[in-house]
Amino acid sequence: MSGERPDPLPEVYTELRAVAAGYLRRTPSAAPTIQATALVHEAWLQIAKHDETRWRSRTHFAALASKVMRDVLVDEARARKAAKRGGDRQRLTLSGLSPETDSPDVDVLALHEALERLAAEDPEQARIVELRFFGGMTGDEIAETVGVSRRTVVRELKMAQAWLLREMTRDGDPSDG
Amino acid sequence: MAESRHARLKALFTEAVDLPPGQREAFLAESCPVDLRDELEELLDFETDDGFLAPECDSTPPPAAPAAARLDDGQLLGGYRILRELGAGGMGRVFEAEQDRPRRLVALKVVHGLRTGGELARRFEREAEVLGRLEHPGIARICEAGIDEALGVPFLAMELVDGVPLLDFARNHALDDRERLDLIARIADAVQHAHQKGVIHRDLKPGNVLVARSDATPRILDFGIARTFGHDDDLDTTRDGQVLGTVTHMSPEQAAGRLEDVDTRTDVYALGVLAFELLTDGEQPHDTTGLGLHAALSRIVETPARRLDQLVPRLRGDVATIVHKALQPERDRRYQSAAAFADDVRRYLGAQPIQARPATPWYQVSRFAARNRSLTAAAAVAILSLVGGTAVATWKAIEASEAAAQEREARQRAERRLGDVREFATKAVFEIHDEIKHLSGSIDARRQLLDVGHDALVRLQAEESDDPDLIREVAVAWSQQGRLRGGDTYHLGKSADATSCFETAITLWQRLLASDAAPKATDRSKLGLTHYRLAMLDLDARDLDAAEQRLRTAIEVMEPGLEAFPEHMDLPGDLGSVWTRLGRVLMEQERAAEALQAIETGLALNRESLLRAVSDEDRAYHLRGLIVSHNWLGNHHYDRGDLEAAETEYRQYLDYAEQVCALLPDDELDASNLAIAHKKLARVHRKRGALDAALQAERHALDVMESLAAVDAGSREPNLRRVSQWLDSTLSCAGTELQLGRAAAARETLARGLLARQLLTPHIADTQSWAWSCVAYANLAAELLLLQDDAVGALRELHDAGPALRRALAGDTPKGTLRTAADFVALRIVTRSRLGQDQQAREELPELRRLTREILDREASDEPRSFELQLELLDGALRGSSETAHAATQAWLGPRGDKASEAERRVRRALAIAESRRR
Repeated sequence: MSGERPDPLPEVYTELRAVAAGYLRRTPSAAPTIQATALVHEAWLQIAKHDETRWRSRTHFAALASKVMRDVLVDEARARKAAKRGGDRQRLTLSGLSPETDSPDVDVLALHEALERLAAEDPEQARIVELRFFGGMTGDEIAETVGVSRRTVVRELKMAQAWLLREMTRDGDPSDG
Repeated sequence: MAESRHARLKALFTEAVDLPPGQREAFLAESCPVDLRDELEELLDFETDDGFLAPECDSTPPPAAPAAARLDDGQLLGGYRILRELGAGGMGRVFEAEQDRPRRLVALKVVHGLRTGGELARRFEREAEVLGRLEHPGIARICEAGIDEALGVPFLAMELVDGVPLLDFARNHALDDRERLDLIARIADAVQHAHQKGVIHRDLKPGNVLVARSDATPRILDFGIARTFGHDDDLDTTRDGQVLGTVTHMSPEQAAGRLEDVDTRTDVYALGVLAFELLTDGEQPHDTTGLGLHAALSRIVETPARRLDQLVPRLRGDVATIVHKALQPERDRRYQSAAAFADDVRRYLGAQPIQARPATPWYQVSRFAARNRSLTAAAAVAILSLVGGTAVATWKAIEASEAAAQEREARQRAERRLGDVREFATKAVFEIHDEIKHLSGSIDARRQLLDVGHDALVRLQAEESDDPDLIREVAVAWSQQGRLRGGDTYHLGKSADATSCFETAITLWQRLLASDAAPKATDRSKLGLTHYRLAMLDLDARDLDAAEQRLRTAIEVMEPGLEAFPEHMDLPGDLGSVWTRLGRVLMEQERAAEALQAIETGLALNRESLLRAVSDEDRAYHLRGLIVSHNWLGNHHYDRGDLEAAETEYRQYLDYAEQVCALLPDDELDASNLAIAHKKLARVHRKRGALDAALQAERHALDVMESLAAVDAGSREPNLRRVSQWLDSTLSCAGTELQLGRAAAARETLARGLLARQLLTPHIADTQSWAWSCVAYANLAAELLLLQDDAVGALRELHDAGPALRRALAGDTPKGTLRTAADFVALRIVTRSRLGQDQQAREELPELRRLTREILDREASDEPRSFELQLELLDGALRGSSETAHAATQAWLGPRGDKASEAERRVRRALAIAESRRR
């Protein structure tokens, strides 16, 4: 059964990118804080309604979406960086939690770069971070997607967060280097 | 294999992180290998509970919970003594507590895992101050918000309401509908008060409303708290059950995650849900039973609320209308304030007419169809039967209400509903139809839709109203029904149904014109056009006499309008179309003189309407009508051999086409009309033998076609239809030039059209005529090369076009195409003969003979005669030596038709010379 259906990645990739780009456009530039959960949620509502059968589940979708979101956000951040070079650098930040809590804003580019280094050390851990941060997935959803227990997800995220924060702090701000 | 450094670090980190901070140092010292110690220490420094990766949907108590968990009975918190725990939720715990001064009991809310300090604390205090301003009997007062410095825990002290949850209260007291509605209105009052103070609840649900035991007043709890604690929009922070509990009360904007759209009308929606639950004793507008979180959210966003009156039929009418207005998915269509909602509820309770209009089902369906372009026809059918059901139900309600017509309220309601049926039958049906007509397989759905509209129209007509506007509207709707059933591009092919619809419309128009109500010009025009449409149906049935009769009736109806309404803009044009159509019918009856007169009358009227037109669009519309008529007349004269008359008509056509192009320079269709006019004129010139004039006209056509195609010729997907027109114009032009002996010019023209051929060649498999064009191009190119003695080049050209010829011959061979094929084969024979390949050339002769035979069988004009002669000459030439090859070339390529005898003479001379040389 599952073999009959081709991987929908290529065809839906464009669609997802459009959704994400649209979301970014609507986000006021003054406060470029995006909530990954809401973003993926919106993408899901827009895309899955066309063809629900194409998706095994929302988690399947979100796993894919997280990759796309990462691409889009990194591209966007690069574009902004290029535009702002020389002036006050405006960071595209993304808060995994609600924008109203005190969680620190994260520089998407710095995170992306640090995450690449983490992937070299521990691909699974990096993937879990991607699902959490760029896919806005909950611990339970990540556990289902990756096929580990929720406890493991929590542990991995905790470790990854400390590791990534350290990496990003160590780097300082690469764009000004 | 040894574990990686990262994996070892992970294991140590995981172990260390669960230790209380005090014990970590010892752990590092004792258990951590030296090589990892520094890094682990570093990582632990960066460890935090609520960072950017903190996982949501935590089903274990959040790590910071111990602060709240340590609260025990009798403990003091922020000056309150905790008496007992009232409950615990995802967000925190609620205690009954006692304050000393003033001495009172409060509900003390303590929130889990919220860290204090900094910005958060300041915001918390700010919000609490705002909440403190809410003073309303329907809102549980906030006594104090603060942070217990000693414990580092934020708390909220609220008025302790001694009450019963809303639904329980209603059940326990067996409240009737009116008592429940009264409660809802009072809750809405309280919400309105908060909105005026700038506070949105965002999480209004029955569990958040208690009815006080003392005075039966509803009190809303937790006003604005969701926001204060920053949890309102964070679905996943609470456990699944609670999430679902909250989700079912969410507005579509919340469920869709459009948090920027949340405003006071979000609470209005929640009031609608509350009312729905209270009136149905616990049912919710969206049944999310058994759905997962995201499916539940999708359902709220995607589907309309269940109808209240389907669950509780006695609430049909105003109550359902009010509740569903609050439940509209689009905020702008809800009550704009809680007060407006409360007002309407009270209007109903006071037996006054309510403000809300029922959300018409057609509106929802047309919105739905607009949103879902990919909607399947099957889905459309399902929805339309729903609409049908509703429309009929609405009608029954009208009848029932009529019986009680003495009551003014009932009368008003009936009129309102009549308005709905009217709107549905005369407008909505057609709007929805337009939305779905392009969907594949929508025929069934469209038929059902029209049938529903049909029933509604029948009932509307039974009203026997004297309101001219209503009659007019219904008549228009009948005409529309007729068009869609049998007289339009997307029609359903039911001409019998269509006829009866048109006839009904005609009866209504006639009633209108006979009545005192001042008839409008459009009434006449529309009545006439309805007759015209009936005539078109007659024509479909090939009943020319009936069609003629109908068209004459249409003219009789419309003509008096011309004098009565000299200023009317559409009438002359509409009447003109009728005359033109009559002309064509007469022509088919072979009454040419009458026909031409009718068409002339039509043209005069079209010119009249052109003068009256005010906008460029209108002018262009009338000009196009004139173009069609002149083209038609031109063709008529041309076919009869009257070239003078044909030229006059085509010139008029060209003149109008130029005018349209000047008005709307960007319109592709108008531009190609212009090119066609030039081509038609070229055809006339050619027929007269005026090749120079023909060439000039063809050049004009080519210029237009070329510039049209050039627009997107460079794009990845050029418009191939335009490219093929461009190629055809190129071929006519080059052919004429060659005929005029202007080989150089012809070569240049062909070179200009090379791109067109290249664009088309990959697509010859799609369209046969394109294949023919490519063959014709190769013929011309080969002929021109032969004239330059480049037989090698010519053969290559012909060889490359081989696939095109095979494709072209694979289908039908319309008139003229066999000639192209014969030319192709003959050219190949000639070329081979030139190259000394006489044997191969001779082998192809049977094929040429076969094609020639076929042409002679099919085309009975003079030209094939000379064609046959040419074949003989070619044959003769090939019998000679290769020296006669030039003569053979001459035989095929020389002028045809009248000039054939000249060619014959030359070929015979060449043959004679060749013969004598051989001897």
